[in-house]
Amino acid sequence: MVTDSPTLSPAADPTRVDVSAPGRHPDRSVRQTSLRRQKRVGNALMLAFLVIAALIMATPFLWMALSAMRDPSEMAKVPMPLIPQDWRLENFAETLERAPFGIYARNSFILASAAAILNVVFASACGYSLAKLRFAASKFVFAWTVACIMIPFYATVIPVFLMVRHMPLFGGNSILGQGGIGWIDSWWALIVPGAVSPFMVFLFRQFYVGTPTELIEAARLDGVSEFGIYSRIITPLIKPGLLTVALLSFEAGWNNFLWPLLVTTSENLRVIQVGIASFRQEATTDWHLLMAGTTMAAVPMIVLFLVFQRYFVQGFAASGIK
Amino acid sequence: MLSRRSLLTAAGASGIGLTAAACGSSDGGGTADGPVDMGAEVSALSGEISVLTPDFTGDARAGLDDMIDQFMENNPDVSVTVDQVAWDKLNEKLSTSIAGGVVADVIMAGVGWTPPFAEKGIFAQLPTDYVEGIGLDEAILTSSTFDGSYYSLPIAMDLRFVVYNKEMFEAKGITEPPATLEELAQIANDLTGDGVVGLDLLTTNIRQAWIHLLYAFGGTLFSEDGMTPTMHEEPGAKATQWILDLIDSGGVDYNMQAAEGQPTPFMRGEAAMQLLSTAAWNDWSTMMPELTEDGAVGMFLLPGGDGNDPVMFQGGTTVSVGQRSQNQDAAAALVQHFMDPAMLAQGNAALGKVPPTADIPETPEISENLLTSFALEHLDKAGAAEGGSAAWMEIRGNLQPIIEACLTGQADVETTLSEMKTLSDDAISRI
Repeated sequence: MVTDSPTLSPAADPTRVDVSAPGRHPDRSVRQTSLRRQKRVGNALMLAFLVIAALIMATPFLWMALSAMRDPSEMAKVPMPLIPQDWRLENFAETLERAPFGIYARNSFILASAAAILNVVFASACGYSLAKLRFAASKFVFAWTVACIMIPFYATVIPVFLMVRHMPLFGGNSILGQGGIGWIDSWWALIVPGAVSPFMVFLFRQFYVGTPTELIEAARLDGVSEFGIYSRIITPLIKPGLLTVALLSFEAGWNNFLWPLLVTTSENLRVIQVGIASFRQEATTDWHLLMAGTTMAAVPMIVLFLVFQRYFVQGFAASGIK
Repeated sequence: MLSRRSLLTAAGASGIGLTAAACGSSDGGGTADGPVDMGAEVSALSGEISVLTPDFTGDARAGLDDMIDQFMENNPDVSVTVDQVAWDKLNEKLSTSIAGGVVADVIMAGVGWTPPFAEKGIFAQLPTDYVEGIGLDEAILTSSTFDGSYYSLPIAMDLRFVVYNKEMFEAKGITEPPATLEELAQIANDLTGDGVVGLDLLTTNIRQAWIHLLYAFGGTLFSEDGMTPTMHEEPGAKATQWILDLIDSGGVDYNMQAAEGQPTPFMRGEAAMQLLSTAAWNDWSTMMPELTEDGAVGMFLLPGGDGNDPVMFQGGTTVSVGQRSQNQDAAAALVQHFMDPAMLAQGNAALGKVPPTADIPETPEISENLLTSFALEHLDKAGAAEGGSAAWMEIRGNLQPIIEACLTGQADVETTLSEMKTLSDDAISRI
């Protein structure tokens, strides 16, 4: 039932203070107005700063996108016009004609998707066990994982290459990994070495550490299997983490250049970053085509981040890594 | 909790694991020492061979594919696959391939790379009578040797000399290109002023410009056997001092190097002369076509110092047969095919580079390229080249900062040459 409360005049309402009344906080309204103004000015300054910072951050990308549509002769002008005078959209078509970018993009997508899926599956399992399971070597394994993050790629590339090349019973190799080429020039070589990244294991562990152990104990008392606890109870709690790892792994796979270059020889296994490199020759570079290729290669990652940025930031914030 | 001890233990375990993994075998065929057989019968050739190339990217790839198709037409039982790799990753690709024992059958690499990879047993020795029978100039072939034998052949050259702005020369009343380095320095100083620098020496590559001058003063990088550095001797000191004097007088501006992608100061009219490579033709064609017109620019070889002959710097691509190739006869046949005059013309037309001989069928791409035409007229002067030691790959990356430190006033000439010697001695001692 709705009842109308009696309306009191300002003068009759004891809870109200007439700020305009003489002798009663004469400067409060001025102060509030001043505070509001200060807040507005502060917000405007912050907004201006953020706009400038955003523009500075976006400048290289804008420059890349604009250069992708320039005539090559325009790049020789001094000073180079900020906005292309002759918009050459055909640079994109020419770029696609110069190399089989359809195949390269397909391969990059497969490689990036595989990296995202495999890392989410395997690294989350590793991260969960390091965070929530007690076993004798857990500290050692965790320390080893952290140490592995610190080893630069260049230090591991030859050992990993040797493992790939000597993979037993693949590519004509014997059981001892001799005689053939193993996984060289195959999807195995492209995907398997990047299937679990130590950094992603570490990241997942940080996410799992923040989940309530009481839930796990309750589930154990209820007879849920350890895999069931991991997959159905705890992992759904770290969805931002799953998305963060998936995005980071996808990005790493999409931008991967050196490893695919080293382990593949066939054109039909080459990835988009290798294709872009074809615009650079020993002493010259087709900058307008390079920019067009790079712009096209950047688009999928930009779209992914635009769509998932909220979860992505949330994921990083939740893991404590900023 | 992660303790420091457990972290260190894990790091140590990782290191041991990596070391163990690195100790893989490097089987990969392997053939007897000695030159490859360049005379195998076509009917005897069969199987697969692979080509590793940092060239023939983009549009030029069709040219390579066509050359290979012609080879396979003549050798129907041989199939060829191409592994293309970016120039700046070629060393990594070759190094990992060597470690894994899966080196390509035919390898294209850079000038200066021959001794290091020949010494490692990656490039096979080529028969002297075959190489000398091709008729290439001795100056071009010098960088293809190791230990007195040939291990590669120049297939597409990138040669360097000086171009000049004719209008600026005429405005100063200069009618003849300089004949000595002293004259060149004088002209560079005369042309400097009013927003113009006389000579852009450093845009192309500082290390290679210094080596070019070293040879112009009659010096070399190493002794003939490649086991003793000579770059620090008197010609090296003179080359360094020549650049420093020009920087002091303003004839050369260290800060005038064009960033990648930018037109060079010469293209912008801010430098009267430039030490440039023949590859500049591609940039001229796309960015400033007016420079490609006949008579638009003048050209001359870098003059010699101390009474030496003028000299061209030699870069570019070489081709070798893999020592570990399982199908060496077919690989040798493909190299022979690439060195055929018609193929040299076709390949260099596609690449925009300079063939190692002028004795090729005429193609419009080559004959209309004025930089290439000038270089072809002076192939006998292309004697300045990087390399000459099996340790070169280890030295070359560290040489540039030493030269730059000197040119920017952080080290004097004596210290610079001493550092060069130490760097080279250390690298050679590890061979």
